[in-house]
Amino acid sequence: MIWLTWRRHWLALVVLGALLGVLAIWMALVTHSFDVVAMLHKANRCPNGGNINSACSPPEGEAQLIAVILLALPCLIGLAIGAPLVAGELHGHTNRLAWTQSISRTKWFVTKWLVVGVGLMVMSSLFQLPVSRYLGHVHVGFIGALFRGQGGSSRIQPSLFNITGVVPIAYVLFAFSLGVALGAVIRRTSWAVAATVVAYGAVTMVMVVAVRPNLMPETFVAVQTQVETPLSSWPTADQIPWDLGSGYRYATGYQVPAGDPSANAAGRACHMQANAPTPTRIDQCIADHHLQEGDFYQATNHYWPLQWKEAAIYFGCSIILFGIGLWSVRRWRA
Amino acid sequence: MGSARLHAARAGRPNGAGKSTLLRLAAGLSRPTTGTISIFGDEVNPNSTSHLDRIGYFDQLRPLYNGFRVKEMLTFGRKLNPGWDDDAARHWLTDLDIPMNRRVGQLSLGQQAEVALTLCMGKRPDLLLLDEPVASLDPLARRQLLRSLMGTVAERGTTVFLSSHIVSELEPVCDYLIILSDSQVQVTGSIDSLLAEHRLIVGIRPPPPMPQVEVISSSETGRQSTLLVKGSHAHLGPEWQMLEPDLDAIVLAYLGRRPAVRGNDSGTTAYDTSGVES
Repeated sequence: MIWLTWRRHWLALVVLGALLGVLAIWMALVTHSFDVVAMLHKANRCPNGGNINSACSPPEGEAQLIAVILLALPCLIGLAIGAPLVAGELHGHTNRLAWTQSISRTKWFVTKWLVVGVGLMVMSSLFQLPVSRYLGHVHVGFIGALFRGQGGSSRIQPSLFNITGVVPIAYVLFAFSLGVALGAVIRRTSWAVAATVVAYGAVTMVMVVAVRPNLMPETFVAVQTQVETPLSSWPTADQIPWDLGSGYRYATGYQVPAGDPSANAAGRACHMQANAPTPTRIDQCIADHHLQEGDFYQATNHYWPLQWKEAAIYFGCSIILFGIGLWSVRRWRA
Repeated sequence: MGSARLHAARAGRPNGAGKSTLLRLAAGLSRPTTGTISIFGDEVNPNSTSHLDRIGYFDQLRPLYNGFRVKEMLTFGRKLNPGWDDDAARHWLTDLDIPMNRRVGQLSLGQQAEVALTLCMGKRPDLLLLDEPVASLDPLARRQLLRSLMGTVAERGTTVFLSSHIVSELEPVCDYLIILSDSQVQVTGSIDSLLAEHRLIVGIRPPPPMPQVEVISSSETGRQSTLLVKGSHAHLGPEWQMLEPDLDAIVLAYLGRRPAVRGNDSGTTAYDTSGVES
C-alpha cells in the first residue's frame, strides 16, 4: 500500500518540493538585495536616505509579495494535495479498484493519509529553515530597523507570527487533513477545493481574532502610566508587543477580578451616559466603577508558548479531521 | 470445492436497481438498504475484509490507474494481494500481446479490459464477479476474452458470476442464468433446464386454451400468434407448430413480461459454475 501511495502521489510531492525550492531561491535573492542596500546605506552612498528607483531602495514590494505567498502557502498545499487525495479517486472510479483488492478501506485510507501527510510535514519543516532565516534577516532585521518605531513587525504580531516558528507546519497538516476530509465527505474535488478555502480562511481568522489572544494572559498598560516616549528610545520592531486594542479592566484589589470581561461593557457604558457625557463625568464614572482604561498586549516573550499552544490546537484538529475522513471512507457506497 | 453461496438478498432500492448494483453489493463496495449479502458464509459489506482476497471484481467501467504502465498495474496487484500469481498474470498478458511498458491509458478498450481481468484473475480468487466484461468490445476481442476467462476457470475451478446484455455470447459459457428486470429476479435456473422447459408455439390466432402451461409472452402479427410458454406441453392441433426457443427468445420474453421495464436497467446476470460442476 505504501508503494501504491508513493506511485500515485510522488509527482505531486516532487512538484511541490520544486516550487518550495524556487521560493527559497527567490527569498535568498531578495535577502541579497536587502544586504546590498544596507551596505550602501552604511557606506554613506545614499544621501538623504536614498530615493525611489535607485539602488538605495530595497525591494519591499517583493518582500511583501513573499510574505503573502507564505501566508497562503499552507492553504494552497491543502487544496492541491489534500482535496484530491480521496475525492480524486472518483475520477475514473479507481476507488472501486483499490477497495476490491485484499486490503481494507481503513488500511487504504490510513496509509495514504500518513505517507502523504508525513511527506508534507517533512517538506514544510525543511522549508521553515530558509523561511525563518529570510524573515529574521529581512522583516525583523532590515525592515524592522528601517522603520524603527514607526511600523515594521515583530514575530508576535499576526503578520509574522503566522509564517514563523512551528505554526506553519501545523497549518500545512491542518489544511491537508481539511482537504482530505472535505474531499471524502463531499466526494467531488472541485467542491472540496472551494470548501477547503472557505473553511481554512474561517478557522484561521477565528484563531487570530478570538482564540490566540486568550491562549496566554494579556499584559495591561493603564493610560495613566503611559508616558510619551522620545523618538530616539522607541523600541526596535522586534520589541513591539502584539497590540490587542484598548479597553477597561477593574483596578487591582477590587472585588471583581481584573480580567473580568464585564469591565469593558462597564467602561463603554460610562461613555454613553444618558445625561450628556463630558470628559469629567466620564472620568468620574470610570473611577466610580473602579475601572482602569488602558491597552492590552501579548508580550513578545509569549511568542514560543503561543506558537506551541496554537500548533497543538491545529494538530488536534488535524487528528479529528483524519477521523472524519476515515469514517466517511468506511461508510462510502461506491 | 464448494460453490459460491451467493445469497442475494433483495437489494430493495426502488430507483437504483439492476445487475451492477447487485455485483457491487456482492463485492462489498456498497451496502444493501435492507437485508444482507453473504459470500462463502460471511456477510459482505464495505467494512468486511474476509471476502476481499477470495473475490475478483471486474467493474463495468474498468477502472485502472491510467498513468500506470501495464507492468506497474501488475506490481499493484502483487503489492495489494497476498495470493497474487505474478507468473500467471505476466504469461497471460504476454500471450495477449499487451505491451508491458505501455501506459494503461494508451491501451485500446479491449486491452484495458484484458488488464482489468488479469488483475481479477491474478488474485487467484474463488469467485469472480464480472460486470459486463464483454461490453463495448469488438466480437473478436469478446471471444478472446471469454476464451481466456473460461480456460483459467476450467483450470482452477473458480465460480464466475457475470452480467451481460449480450445473451447469445453467454449461452456456450454459462451454466446458470438469473434474469433481473426492474431489480426483481424474473427467472433463475440452469440454462439447460431453461431451454428444456420452454417452448415457442406459433400458429393461427386465437391461441387455444392451454391450462397446463404458463404463458410467458404472446405476440400477434396479422393472423399469426407466437407464444412462449413454460411447463408440460399441451396437445395442440396440426395448425400449431411447437419450436424449441433459443436463449435470446426466453430472455426477451421474461424482460418483456413486466410493463415497467426500464431499458438500461434490465438485463441478464448469468453465473457459470463449469469448474465446480465438473
